[in-house]
Amino acid sequence: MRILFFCVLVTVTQGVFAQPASGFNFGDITEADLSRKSYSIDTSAPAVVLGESGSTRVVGNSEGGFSLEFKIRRRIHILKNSAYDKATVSVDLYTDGETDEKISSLRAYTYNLEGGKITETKLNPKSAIFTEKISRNLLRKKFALAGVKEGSVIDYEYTVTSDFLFNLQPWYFQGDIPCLWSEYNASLPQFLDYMMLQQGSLPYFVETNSERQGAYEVQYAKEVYAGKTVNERVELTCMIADYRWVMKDIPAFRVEAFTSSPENFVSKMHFQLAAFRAPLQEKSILTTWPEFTADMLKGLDFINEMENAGEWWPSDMKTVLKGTSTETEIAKAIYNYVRQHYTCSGDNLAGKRTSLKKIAAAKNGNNLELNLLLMALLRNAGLRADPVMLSTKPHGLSTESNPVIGQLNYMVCRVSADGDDWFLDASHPFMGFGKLSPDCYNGQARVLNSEATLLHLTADQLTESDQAEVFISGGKQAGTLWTGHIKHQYGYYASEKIREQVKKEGNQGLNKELADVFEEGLLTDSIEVTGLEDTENSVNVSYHIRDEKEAGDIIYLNPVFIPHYRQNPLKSENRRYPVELPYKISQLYKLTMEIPEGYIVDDLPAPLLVKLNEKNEAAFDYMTAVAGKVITLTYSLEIAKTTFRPEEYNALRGFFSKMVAKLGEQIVLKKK
Amino acid sequence: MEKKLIISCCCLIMGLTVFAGDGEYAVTKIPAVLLKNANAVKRMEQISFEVVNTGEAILKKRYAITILNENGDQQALFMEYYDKMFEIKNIEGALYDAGGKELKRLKNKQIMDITGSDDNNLIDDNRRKVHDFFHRIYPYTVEYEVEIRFEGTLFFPVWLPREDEDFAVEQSSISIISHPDYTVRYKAFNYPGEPVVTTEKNRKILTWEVKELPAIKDEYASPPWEDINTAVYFGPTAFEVQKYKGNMESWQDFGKFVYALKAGRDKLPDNIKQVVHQLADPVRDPKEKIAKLYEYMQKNTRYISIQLGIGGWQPFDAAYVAGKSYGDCKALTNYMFSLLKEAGINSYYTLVRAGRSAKRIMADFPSSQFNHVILCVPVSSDTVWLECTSQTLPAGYLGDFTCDRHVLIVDENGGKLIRTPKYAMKENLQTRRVKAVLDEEDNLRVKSETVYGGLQQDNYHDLIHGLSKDKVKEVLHEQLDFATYEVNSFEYKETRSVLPEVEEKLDITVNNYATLTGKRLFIVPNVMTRTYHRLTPNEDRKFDIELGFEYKDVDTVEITIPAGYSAESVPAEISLSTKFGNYQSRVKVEGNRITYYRSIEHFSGTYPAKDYADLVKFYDAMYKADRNKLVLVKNETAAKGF
Repeated sequence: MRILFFCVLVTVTQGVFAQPASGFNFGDITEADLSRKSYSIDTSAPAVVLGESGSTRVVGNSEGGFSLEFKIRRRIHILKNSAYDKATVSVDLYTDGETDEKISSLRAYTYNLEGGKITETKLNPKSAIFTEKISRNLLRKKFALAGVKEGSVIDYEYTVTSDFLFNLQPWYFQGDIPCLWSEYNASLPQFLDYMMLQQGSLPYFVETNSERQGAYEVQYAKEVYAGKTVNERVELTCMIADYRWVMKDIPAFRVEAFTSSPENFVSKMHFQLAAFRAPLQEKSILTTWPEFTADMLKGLDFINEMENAGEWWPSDMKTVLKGTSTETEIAKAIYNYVRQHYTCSGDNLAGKRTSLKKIAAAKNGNNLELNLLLMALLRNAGLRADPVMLSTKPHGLSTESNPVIGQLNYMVCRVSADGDDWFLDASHPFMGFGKLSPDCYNGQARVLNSEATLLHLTADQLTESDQAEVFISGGKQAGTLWTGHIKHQYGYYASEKIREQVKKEGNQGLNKELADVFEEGLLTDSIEVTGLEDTENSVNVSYHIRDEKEAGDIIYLNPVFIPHYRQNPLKSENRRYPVELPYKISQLYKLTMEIPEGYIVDDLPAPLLVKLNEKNEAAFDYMTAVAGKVITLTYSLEIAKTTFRPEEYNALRGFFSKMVAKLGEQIVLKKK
Repeated sequence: MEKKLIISCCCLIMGLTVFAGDGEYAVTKIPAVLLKNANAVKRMEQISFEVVNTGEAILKKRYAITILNENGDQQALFMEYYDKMFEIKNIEGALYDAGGKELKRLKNKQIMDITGSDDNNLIDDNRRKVHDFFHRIYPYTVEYEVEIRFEGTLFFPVWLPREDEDFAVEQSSISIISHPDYTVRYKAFNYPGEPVVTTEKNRKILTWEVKELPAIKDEYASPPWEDINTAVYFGPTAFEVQKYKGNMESWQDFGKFVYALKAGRDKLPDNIKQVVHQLADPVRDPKEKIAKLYEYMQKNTRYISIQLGIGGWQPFDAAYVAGKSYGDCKALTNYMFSLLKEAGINSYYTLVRAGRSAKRIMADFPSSQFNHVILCVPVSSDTVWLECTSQTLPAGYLGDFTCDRHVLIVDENGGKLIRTPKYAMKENLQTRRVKAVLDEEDNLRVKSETVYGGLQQDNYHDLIHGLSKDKVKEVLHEQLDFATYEVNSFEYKETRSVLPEVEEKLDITVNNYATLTGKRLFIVPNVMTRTYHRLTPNEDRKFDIELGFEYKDVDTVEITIPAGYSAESVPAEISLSTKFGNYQSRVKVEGNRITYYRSIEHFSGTYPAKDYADLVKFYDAMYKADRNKLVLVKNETAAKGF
């Protein structure tokens, strides 16, 4: 990519690229270094990064523009063979099909201690570097260091030169092995303005920036007369800011359960090109949200198509609106039509969009295309419908202050009907009207309208409610100890899974699952599933259950038949990052049991109330009672928030522990 | 750790342009019997494979598949692998609606060309061509046609008309075309009769065809797919691959070809020769010499896969490995061969089809059936097997990646098929002793000592060598079957030998292990070893049952509980004796001490389909027995004491 500009140029001062002295000394490797068997930061680590340093600077190129030059050096002590993969290095390079990022100045050494002497094995960069084309925009270079064994120290460096100024290399201070010293330097001229986005909770050991005068030389071929060019050189001086960030003694990043995206917690620094400034032609790259939405809408370019609906109007749409009158009815009818008749072929936001005409004919499209079609249909029916962009949970959190390229990866639709706003996503065939996948509840969402309206979708706005009722009575036939009837209303998102499963395997799959649930091999039959079609609501499953045993003097019965929690979901002893649940939880369970003729209650679980804290952010309330010939047992679980800080972890784990223990208790009946 | 010798034997075919006329693929034309249980129906398939000469062959394939519902969508995906030895010449495709009306043609730019290798590889040349119409209005039909040029004749296609379960076939045929003087070898499974032979000017054509194969359901532990389906495997007589010539008529011949590729690649640099003599010369016992050199190789190399062209077949030479300290399975095995040779020990470069549940080798049909290389070292009447891609296995032990199967050992005289060792029940033994104390707060302190033997130690071997101590602790925190627990300490000790063992000591505290009500204590005396496997009943089981892995577990448990309880309900002793295996469990209460014994012997073998119901019953009974609870009641008087 070339920068199209030029203004002025100045005299020649030799640019001095004074790199700040590294705090980590990539000096000679000593015998003592190589004989170390472990490091106190993590005595069981299979490898430790002794030091790594990255630096990016801007250089003038020979095509009249600027390039980014990224240098990296890294030294790793390989302690166990399970870390040999650290000695095979992959470098990803961006390509636009014409120009590639380039790797150069590769140097790689392996040091070993052999018979008390240090040996050095050098990688021959000519024969050792392989290229693989991963995708249209991605090349992967790979090299493997030679002579690696347990105890080796490897040391490598290379340079990546990029003409893509938007692709300033990010820096991960934290990786999957511990690191003693990680630093990143960036020297950025005043005429390139980058926004810096830092993330993670680890502190910097050094964080400095300073300014200095510097100079750049740019060359380009100037046409003197037809076909004849000469090489021109331009020099410009400007202020350069030198940034330096250092972290020390960084533990390995550990991915924990109940984390919406590990990317949100790893310590890293990344950059977004914000603007070209003088002496370049001023141009803002970083946009405001209204500019972003205007660009997006322009890029999507569907207004024209929408206005000429006659050209693409789906032929099977005619009957869809029959019998609808209110706006909500119309919106529902259109939503259900798209959801049921079109197939989502993926979530890809990049690349060229297929026209509505083609989508309507093929009956499939990606997430964005299907939702655009949905919006076009809604608007043609006279409703207000707007695209909404967001970042899904696995994709990580998005920045609110300004749009950052690539952060918003998903589109849904917002429709207004009879004064209410609803979110729709036509790419999930089992999602009801007004429902989005929990993955969409990831903070910021932006309506693509002129104000770029900011919305917040958070997990706290969702509650998964589950209710079950169980009736047990004594067996009427010999050989059957008792029989029961279970009515279970699943939570909404659990219902979505059941809808998928029944569609795929029929009731059989559900049958097997229920059979597996009952540890003691109780027998189930007469399974009935209702509400499969009504995607706005939950699925109800009801079935009979029986225990085929001869009645003895004592009957033991585990009264909780819906095993939401057989084990504590929080396994680990400790926690580094918050526990994030996909939604709030509300469960209600009620058992009614007729005491069989001739028996009396001998042992009944005691009531229990467990609260996480005074604010009742999680509460488990378990009650039992006997009235005449009937035992009742009810419990409720309410988890009223979705994010728990690491400091709350032990309490939350203890809460689950008490609840799980209680849910395992038995009722004991004895012959009179 | 899938390590591949040859990657690309599964490429298929075609080449034409005349597609079906309107209506030819109308769904109404599918015979009703084929719709039953089917998600997709192969309407037609024509494969032709022409051996032009030993250096070149052309595969042409044309097929049409009707997708009946969304569970059949995967059959609509077009995917062909290729690399430097296979060139995909042409791909055509078309999409039809339920009435057989053409909706769309494939455009070349819609074909994705993506890498076919996995992350383990440093580099290879595997790539895939992939296409999908993403049509989702059912039923619909896709038709594809592809032509692939094989550079060389080492690989032949396999004909397997019914590729999957829930998949019916209306018609499929394959023709193998060659010069009348050239013999193509074949082995057929479940094909009645012989191929039709026709000859036309200097071309001999052998044709196999099937019609109307209804869909079948695969079943748990069913025999290999080709045993229950029509399949024909093909192989060359004389063949060629990138200028190397060979013959496949016998294993001996094939072995000669493999040997020629590696011949002369065993020269070690002088410094390595010296090392070999330093290590081996002072040792008398040949097995000890082998172990010493194997350890040296393990400590000084690592596995990296590099597969390019003939490099998928030919090992890098010993000097390359000595210089880089890495190589793929071929290079590392050849290196180990070279080290042993320098020490005066003869060994055999050995081809194997690796994988825990790899298909068995067709021993009576010499052909390219392997994907990995190991080393076989004969020592007087014994054999030492070496897996040269592992830095951790003890010399002589193979594990379930390569044990118990036919392998091809190779030397200058050619190849010979022999078997690798089988690890049987007495080797795959797990013995566990548990001592546990239940305190007044209902916490169970568990101390267990377990010895895992044979294949039962494989996972633990990987765990302790593959993960740091912290990570092992994390795994233990995730994987034990207790509601809430802490791992107080753990220790693993490995006995490295031809039959390795891992000894595990765990110290765990389980919260609320027993269930305490007002006066009762419910406790599962089987603390740590439970079966999890239950089978879905199937009254209509069709295929034999093949159970592969045989093992024995023995548990003894002693639990001390708080004083003052006496037994109310003690699970009866269980003793199951079946053709699939034996199971026993018994529990005893004496004072405040519970003792529990459990043993399971699980056999391997093939059983007729009618035995399936008994197998379901056996698994169910064990599942239930493993979870039996013991009930104790508080002694009313005990509390009074003084």
